[in-house]
Amino acid sequence: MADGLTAMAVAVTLAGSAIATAWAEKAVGAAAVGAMAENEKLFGRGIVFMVLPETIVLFGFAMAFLLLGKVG
Amino acid sequence: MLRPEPMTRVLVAGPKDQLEPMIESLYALKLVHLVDHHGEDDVITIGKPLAKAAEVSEQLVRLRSIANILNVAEAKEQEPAEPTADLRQQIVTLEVNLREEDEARKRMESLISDLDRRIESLRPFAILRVPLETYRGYTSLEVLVGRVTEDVIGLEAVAPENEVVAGEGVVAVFVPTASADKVREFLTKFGFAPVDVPQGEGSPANLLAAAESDRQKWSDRLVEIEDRIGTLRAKYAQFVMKAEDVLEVEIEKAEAPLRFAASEHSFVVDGWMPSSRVDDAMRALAGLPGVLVESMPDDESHEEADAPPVLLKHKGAVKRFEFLTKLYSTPSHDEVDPTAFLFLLFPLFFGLMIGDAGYGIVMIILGFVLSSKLKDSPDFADLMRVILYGGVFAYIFGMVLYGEIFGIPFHPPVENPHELSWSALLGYYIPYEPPIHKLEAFGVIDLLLLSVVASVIHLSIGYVVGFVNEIHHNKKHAASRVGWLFVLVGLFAFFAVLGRSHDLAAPVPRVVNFLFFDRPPLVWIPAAGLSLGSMSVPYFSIALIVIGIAILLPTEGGLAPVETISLLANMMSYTRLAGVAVAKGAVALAFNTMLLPLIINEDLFVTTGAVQFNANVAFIILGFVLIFLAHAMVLILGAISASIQAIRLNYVEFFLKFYKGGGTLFSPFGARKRKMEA
Repeated sequence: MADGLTAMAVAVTLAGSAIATAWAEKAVGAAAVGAMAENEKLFGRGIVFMVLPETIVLFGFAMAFLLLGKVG
Repeated sequence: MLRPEPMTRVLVAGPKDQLEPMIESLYALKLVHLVDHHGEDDVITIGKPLAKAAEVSEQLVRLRSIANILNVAEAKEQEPAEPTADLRQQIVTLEVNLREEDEARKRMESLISDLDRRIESLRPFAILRVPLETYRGYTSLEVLVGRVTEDVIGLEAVAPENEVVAGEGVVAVFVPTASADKVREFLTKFGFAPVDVPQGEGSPANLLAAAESDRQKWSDRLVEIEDRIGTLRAKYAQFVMKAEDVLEVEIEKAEAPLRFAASEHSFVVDGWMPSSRVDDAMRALAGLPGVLVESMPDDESHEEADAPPVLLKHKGAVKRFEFLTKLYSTPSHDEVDPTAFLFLLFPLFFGLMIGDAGYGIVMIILGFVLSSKLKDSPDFADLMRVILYGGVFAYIFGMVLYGEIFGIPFHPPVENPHELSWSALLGYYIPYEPPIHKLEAFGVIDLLLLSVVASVIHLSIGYVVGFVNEIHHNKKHAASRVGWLFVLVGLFAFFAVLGRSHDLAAPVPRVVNFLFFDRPPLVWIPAAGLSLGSMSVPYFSIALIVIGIAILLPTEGGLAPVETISLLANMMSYTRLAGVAVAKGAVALAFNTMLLPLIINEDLFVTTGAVQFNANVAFIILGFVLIFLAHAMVLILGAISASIQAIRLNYVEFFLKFYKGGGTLFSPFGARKRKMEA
């Protein structure tokens, strides 16, 4: 039972953080492409801002992995 | 290597009659970054262009119109040509030749399009076979001619008196003027679209044939003219391009005085040049009578707006990474140029994330081939060269750290001894136990710990460089970097002790644990600490963070303690190294597991470890093709995500600790990209 719940927690952690990242990147990506259309030099900055939200899913990944260690 | 080239400010002054020779010398030197003269008063004004500027620019306009008519960009076969001294004469001759042809071509084109319209208007009448004069000259009759989508029936009901001539899709209706409006309305039901009766008399079919033969004649003439222009293109394209180059240089020189300061009889040129080359410039300009050169090395006392331009001085491999720095921002003249760090750290992170010897080899080969083939797009060639260096690290890490080639590990994971492995495939036990197995639970934890180590090393370099940058400008900002360093080491001490705990350490200590956590050099970090729930925070860690915050409070302000959380987030951000490495390995493994059954008998392989090929050769071939495609996809997606993540760690986590950028790139007078040089 406990193992099952932990495994569920792993899934929720990863899925939640992945959705959050996707949501954030959607907004950032659209804005970055818009800015790039105005000024191509913003490509570098655009890419950086674009991948900023990936940190969220990385937190999820790290947590999920530590939790996975607790599944017997 | 870590600093941009030192710059020296030069002032060149001389009498006006030396202006032209001086411009020639400066242009040939290609060493002086001009500072435009602003600010005018009664005596000193902005210089006037050389006398020849107007003529040169007129020639350039003519030449560009020639280039446009000839469409030189499309010229494939070109006869080599060298612009002679009398450019002007050559341009005029070419222009006269070409203008005639161009006018003839335009005339032909307009004739042909007129004929096209006439043919189009005659066509419906040719179907009706009634002479054209029949449609005209009535007083009490209205003639409605047009295209219809279906046959007209029941016209008698609207207009009892009528005469209809119909052909395929065309109809001509002759009705009394009185009922014309009703008939027009009636006809719309059949999709009636009126057409005008064309000029001329006689049989429309004959007229149509005449127009078509005319059109043929003119379009033959047009082809002849195009041919002649094509010959001119092949003969003169290269001349035109070279002459354009020559004239552009001329005009740049002729208009250069607009950037100088001038009085009635003299001029002053203001600019920057690399300090190491000042003597060359002195020597080159010394020969001009009356010209004085004054130079003063940059002493950092200038205003920010007056900052010298930045010339990055890298050689060989490091130069390939300059574009990554410039993509972020050009370094300012008084800070450390981070390109050398990128050269070391970008391929390292990239390699850690790819971590596969097979992909590494492919990247090395592709990077080498593409970077040497694509000479005409230097940025892309640089990118490919960067991928090549990343590939080298991917190969090393793939062989030494992970033991993995094309997603297949040397040995199966401990948890799952029947998984695919090279040892099983080759039937030979590879006598090397790599320290980290991406597919084992402890392997991933090792990778996470390794990420923490990477974050500390990377961020420490950032703070140290930040300290060096600030120490001459603002002691307070420099001190804050020391504070951050204390906090960083404090956080690391926490992770170091955590890494030793039973939860995280592998049953048999492996390299990462051995190197960093429960053995030297970190064994001296005392584990004793404050218990927070199930977590223990070492006193050592707390002490360092408190010291760090004590330094930060006066230097960075009251929000510093909150900011330490963002440093923790920065450290966590490095877990992307582990994340991408594992994800990419897992995708490759998934493809291998899915597609390998096409090639070998999987059941037999899993149970006994024996390799038996599929009896059907077609399946084997299909299997290899699909595996090739799958790996090509993993390779490309992996390379894209690994390079974006690696550059992000440098741009966001690393650069923000010390790098400001915003410099002006050194672009000396006379250095310009020539179209023909490639």
